[in-house]
Amino acid sequence: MIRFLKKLLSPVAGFHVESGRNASNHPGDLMWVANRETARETRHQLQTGDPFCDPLARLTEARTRGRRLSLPIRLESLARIREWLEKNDPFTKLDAGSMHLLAAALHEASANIIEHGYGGTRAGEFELWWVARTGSGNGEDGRLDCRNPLKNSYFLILDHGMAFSADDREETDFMDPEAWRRGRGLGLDIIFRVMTRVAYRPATTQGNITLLAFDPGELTSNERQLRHA
Amino acid sequence: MLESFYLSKSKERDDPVVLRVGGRLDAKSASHLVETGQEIRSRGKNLVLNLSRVTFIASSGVGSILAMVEDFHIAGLELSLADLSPAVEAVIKLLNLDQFLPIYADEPNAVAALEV
Repeated sequence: MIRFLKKLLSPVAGFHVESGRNASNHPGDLMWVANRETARETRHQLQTGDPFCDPLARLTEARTRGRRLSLPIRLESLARIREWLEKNDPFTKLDAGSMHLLAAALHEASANIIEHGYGGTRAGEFELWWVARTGSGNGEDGRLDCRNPLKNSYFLILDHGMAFSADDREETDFMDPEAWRRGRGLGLDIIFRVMTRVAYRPATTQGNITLLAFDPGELTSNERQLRHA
Repeated sequence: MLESFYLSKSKERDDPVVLRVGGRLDAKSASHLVETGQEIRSRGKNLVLNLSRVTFIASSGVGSILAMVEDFHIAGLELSLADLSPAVEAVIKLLNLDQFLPIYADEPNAVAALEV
């Protein structure tokens, strides 16, 4: 029933699907959230305190006090992501393994935008932001939780390419030889295993917004399982 | 400073051939790796990929390696990975591919395992 509703409503402008470990009281459930500035969304946000429910507010927050990296629309530009992370706190304090994985996940999210959103190299740029939030997660005063400044912070990618979402993704089955021969489709596996939360918010009034939350403390072998299913 | 991709191949008569890979292994450089692997496979040689100098690996790089392993297997040949850099090891383990891929801690052991 859920899949039927997804397929029915996905093309409808302003609707999107998000899934996440913290998105509902039932881990693994898909949560339907309207992308429009509706009273229902506002009530939902107030009820859950879920910052990922309001992408335009997150974009405003990013533009107000986030750190921005502008990326030309070509795959070669994505090497700048690692350089950007390595020059900015709190990422400079990440252990090497976490840094590799964070850079990889942001690379994959950005590469998908270039390849699927823009169809390859184009003139122009898209934006990657990092926004710090408070330890409480509501971001009202913008202070960092200094014990773990990455916790409750998020990355935001803003692009103006074709809208797409990864809500229909399936985790790669490495037991399937065809998956090996195909050799593709692993980018989403990387994104969803590294990030604690991923939300696609295509076709907002400001463009396509992708929200990603990262907590290096979650990168353990036991946690490396499919999230957001 | 961007890390340039490079491939360094051992002597032509060797079996297995050792291919030392360095720099960023992404969509663009992965195609060069695949082409070189195809050439080695066409000569009926086994292959060891030394990945100790890979500074970044994208999903396209991982996918290319998987496809190459499968292609060598289909051809009755072997392809092994050796001396994974921290960047490669992090992604391989993230995807739990260390359970599926033939990985050796260092090049000499990988070569010894495949020597004809």
